[in-house]
Amino acid sequence: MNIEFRGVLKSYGPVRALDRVSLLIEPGQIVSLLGPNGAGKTTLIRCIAGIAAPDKGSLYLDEQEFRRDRLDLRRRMHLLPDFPFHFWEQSVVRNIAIVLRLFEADGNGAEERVLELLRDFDLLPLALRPVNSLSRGQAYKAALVAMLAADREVWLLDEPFASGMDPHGIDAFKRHARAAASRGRTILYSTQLLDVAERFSDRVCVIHKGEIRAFDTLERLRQQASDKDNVLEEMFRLLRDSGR
Amino acid sequence: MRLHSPQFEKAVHRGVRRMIRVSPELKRECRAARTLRRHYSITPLAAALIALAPGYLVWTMQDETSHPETALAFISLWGFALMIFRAQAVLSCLFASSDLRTLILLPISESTVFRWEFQRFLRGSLVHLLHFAAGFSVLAWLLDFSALKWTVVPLLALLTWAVMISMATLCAARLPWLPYRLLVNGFVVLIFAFIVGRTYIGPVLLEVVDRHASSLNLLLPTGWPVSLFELLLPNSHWAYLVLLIPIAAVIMTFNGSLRRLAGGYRYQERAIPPASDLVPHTETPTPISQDRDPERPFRLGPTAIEEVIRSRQFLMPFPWQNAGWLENLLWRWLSDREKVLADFVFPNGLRISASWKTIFRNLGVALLLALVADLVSPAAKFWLLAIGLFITICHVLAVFLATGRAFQVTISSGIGIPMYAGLGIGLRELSVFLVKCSTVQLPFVFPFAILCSTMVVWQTGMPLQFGFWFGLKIGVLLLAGRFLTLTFGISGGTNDTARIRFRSAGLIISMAFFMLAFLGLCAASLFIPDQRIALPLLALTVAEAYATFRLYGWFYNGNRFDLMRLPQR
Repeated sequence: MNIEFRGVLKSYGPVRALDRVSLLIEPGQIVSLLGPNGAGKTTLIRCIAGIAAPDKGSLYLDEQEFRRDRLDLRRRMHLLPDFPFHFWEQSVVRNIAIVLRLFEADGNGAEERVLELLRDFDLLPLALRPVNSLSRGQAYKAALVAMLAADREVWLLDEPFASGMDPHGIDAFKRHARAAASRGRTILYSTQLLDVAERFSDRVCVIHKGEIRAFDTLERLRQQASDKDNVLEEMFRLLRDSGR
Repeated sequence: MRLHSPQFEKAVHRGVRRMIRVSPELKRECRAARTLRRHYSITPLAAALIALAPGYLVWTMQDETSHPETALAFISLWGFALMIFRAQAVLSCLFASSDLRTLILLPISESTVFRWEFQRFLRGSLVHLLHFAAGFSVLAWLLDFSALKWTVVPLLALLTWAVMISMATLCAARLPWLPYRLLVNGFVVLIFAFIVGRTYIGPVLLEVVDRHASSLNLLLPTGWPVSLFELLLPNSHWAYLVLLIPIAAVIMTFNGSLRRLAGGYRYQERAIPPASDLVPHTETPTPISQDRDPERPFRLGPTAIEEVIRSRQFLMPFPWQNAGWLENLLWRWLSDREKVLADFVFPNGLRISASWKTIFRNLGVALLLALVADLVSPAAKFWLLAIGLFITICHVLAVFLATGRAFQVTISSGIGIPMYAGLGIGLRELSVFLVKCSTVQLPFVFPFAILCSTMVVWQTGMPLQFGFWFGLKIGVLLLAGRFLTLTFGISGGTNDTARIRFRSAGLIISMAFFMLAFLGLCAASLFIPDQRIALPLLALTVAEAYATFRLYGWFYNGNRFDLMRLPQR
């Protein structure tokens, strides 16, 4: 699914969270959103999910203007916020089942997919426990399993690497995300971890004060940078200096 | 323990100002932030207007009846409603306050947090002192009190306020399980009904309060301090002074209630027992070993869990369709997608039939008790009926207008996001499902509404035919009200009214207009005696409520606001 921002402006009072953002994200990529705190990363994700409404400009998904009543478009993407949506008193599998049924992804084979994912994320022994009895990382993994099992075209994740997941869970997520991207899925995530973004993204989108400062592959960014080994760190340093 | 250090705050302010002075960019940001800070709240104005309402109503009652006792009974009733409202508020303040999440992380003792939150509750309750002061002052003014008598008026207001607060705290401490929120909603509906049908309900209510004024003042705890006002009237009886004993007793419970509430105030992480495995519900339940230790949580082994998953048992929705006739009817009416939504909105299943059984049973008990009480005292019959009706109507509203988890909000990055918005659920499909949930209950709603209104007209001596039409129309209006509750439910998870901006001004103005039109149409369709005019107006009311909902949906679909509830500043 093509995601295109055309001059999107979004303000919270006097703060411009997104300042005339124009951007085209093509399918089959892992895109990391980088930027200082309050740069507009989460707002960008929320705009795609239909939660935040742009003040100006439009969002196009596969060349079709996005509106909240376009359920056909909305059901092609899945949002996973930093604190996931859960029915906390229900079991892990029941939460997964509700998500699968909502996204109409509960057809044949769903059970095997869920089983495999639960094993991958070390959640199988906890599959029937209520989510409120799990740790934060485990609860996040439960939501992640639901997202992976639903397997929408666009995955929107807000700070997945600051979610309390253990290294094994992070590794499993990266593996599944890579495989999904090769199947044509778009994975868009925000992070503050530059080394993670450097290794785990096809494209990097740097936002500062609501403006897109860079949106390119790491190779291209490296070509333009003076410090080729620490391209993202240098970029952040420049952003910080320009903000002073 | 102090949570604020003025010296530290002053030092920080000075440092920040110094930095802003030397940086043009910071100056610009500071100017912008000032614009953000400059906002006007209508809350103080609304609180002041509400505080004046008892005064206005006391004046109306005294003017209509010339019985000070009736006006005093109204103050007692007002105090009683405030008591329920404050009991709910004290529980919310102590146990559901938004700042508790932060306070948990600070090295502050529970007793300090308790004191702090309770003080906040008391500060919030001070405005109700104005309510009583306004009521008593208007009555004193109408009765041409001497200067000496006027000096007692503030004392009485203070005493009534103290009794109201003590009773609210007592209720919260001793009866925390009472459905205060439901009762508060019931009072709101009563006020709504009064506003809609003031011309018709007003005289009836006035007559009822007038007739039972003395028993109201003696039966309601908030009526005891109010009754002392009678000592200031000509030909008063010293026996009212006896009421000082129960008043003192109620006020003396305050410390005990506080101790009880403080004793149960534990907000640190609790060591909860390990949770058992929740096996998905099936026709053939998973056998659980009889010799299992009941103290230890029930666990399935990995192979059994795999089997549960492989069997697709976990993908089955909660089987609520066989819980009763209404559930079965609804199940057959729902589309496949709506059945999925039912699982999302009511993950523990729907319980409609059982709730309606309880409603009719409670109404029957109230009616029976009222008939028995009629043999002893007509006043007791009246109050038993009134209480029975009030409780069952609150229950009906909760069942008929239930929204389950439909609009539940999840906090993410400091803002509340409704779950439906994040899971690709559409406003229209969700609303259609909830409207179906209400519509299927109409076969019970109409008999209930007709029965209740017939009981009311029987009690007030109006023709029974009026009760039939009234009940029928109330049933239809409840369905119309469903569209409005849906609108408010959605609105509760958005920032549509967080700030009045050009984009949202149209929404707010048009919604206010439609709400006023709805109130007007409700009043007209209910109280116009000629059914040839009233029934078309009733249809218009339903259409208007639907149009209000659709209009809101238009703004919703047009991305005129965010689906986020921003934190309160």
